[in-house]
Amino acid sequence: MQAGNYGIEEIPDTARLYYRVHKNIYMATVKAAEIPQGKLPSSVFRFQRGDLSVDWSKYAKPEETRNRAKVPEDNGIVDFIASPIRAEGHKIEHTPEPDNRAHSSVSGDETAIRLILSKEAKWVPGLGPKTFES
Amino acid sequence: MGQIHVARNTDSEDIKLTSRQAIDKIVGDAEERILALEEDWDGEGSPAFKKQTLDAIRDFLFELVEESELSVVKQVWIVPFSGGSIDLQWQTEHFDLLINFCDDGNVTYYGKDTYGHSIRGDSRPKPGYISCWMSHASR
Repeated sequence: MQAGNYGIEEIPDTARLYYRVHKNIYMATVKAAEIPQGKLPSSVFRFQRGDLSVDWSKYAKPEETRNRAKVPEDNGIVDFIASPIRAEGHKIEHTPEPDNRAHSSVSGDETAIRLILSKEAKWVPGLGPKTFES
Repeated sequence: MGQIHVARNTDSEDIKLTSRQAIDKIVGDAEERILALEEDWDGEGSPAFKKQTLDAIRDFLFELVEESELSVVKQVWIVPFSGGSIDLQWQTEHFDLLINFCDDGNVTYYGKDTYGHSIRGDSRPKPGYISCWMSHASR
C-alpha cells in the first residue's frame, strides 16, 4: 500500500518510536503533583482524533522529531518500544505522511495506552526536560 | 458528608480524621495549581478547569481512604489533562493505576498490577473495588 509518496510498512515489535512532549504540558503536570524527576505522568500523552502521533526510528532521528514542532526548543522527546503496547492488544501502525515517512499511529484504549507509556517511555538523553526547564 | 468531626470517641475515628485531613491537603495543593491554569494552558485549546471536577476527586479519595491504607492512597498524582479533565495516577512498586475524571462527570480507568491482573472501566469505580484491588496487588 502507498500513503503519499511512501509505502506502508509493518512496524516490528522491537521498533523504537519517538513522541514529542511540549514543555507547557510537562511543566504544568509535574508542578501540579510534584512528580519525581525523570518520571513521566500519563497526562503528557495526547491523542488527536483517536490516535497518538509518533515517529518510527527507522526513518527518523529524535532530533528530527523535535524539529518538526513549531518551536522545537519548547519540546522534549521520549522514546519507547512497540511490544509492551501491542502486548495489551493496542495497535501501532505506520502511517507515513508526504513530508514525514516516519509518521506512525498508536491507537486503542486511550486510558490504558497512556498508563503503559507513562511507565515504558523514557526521555531521550539530551532531549529531556532539562532542555526547556532552564 | 461532613469532612471533619470535632468530637472523636475512638482511635479509629482519630485515624480517619487524620487520613481525611491528609487527603484534603493533597487535593487542596493540586487544586490551587490546577485552577490557576487558564484556558488554552496546554496550547491545544483545553478549557480552564472546573472546581466541580476537583470536588468529585476529593469525594472519591475521601471514600477510598476510608477503605485503604493512607500510605498507598497518598502516593496519588493529581495532574491536569486535556479537555478540562484531570488524572489521578498511581505508579507504585506493586501496581499502576490511572483514573481520568472529565469535567462532565464521566470517568474512565485502567490499572495493572505486577501479577499481570488488570482492571478497566468507563464509569466511576466503586472506591471499595479499587481499594480491594490495590490491597490484593500489594500482597
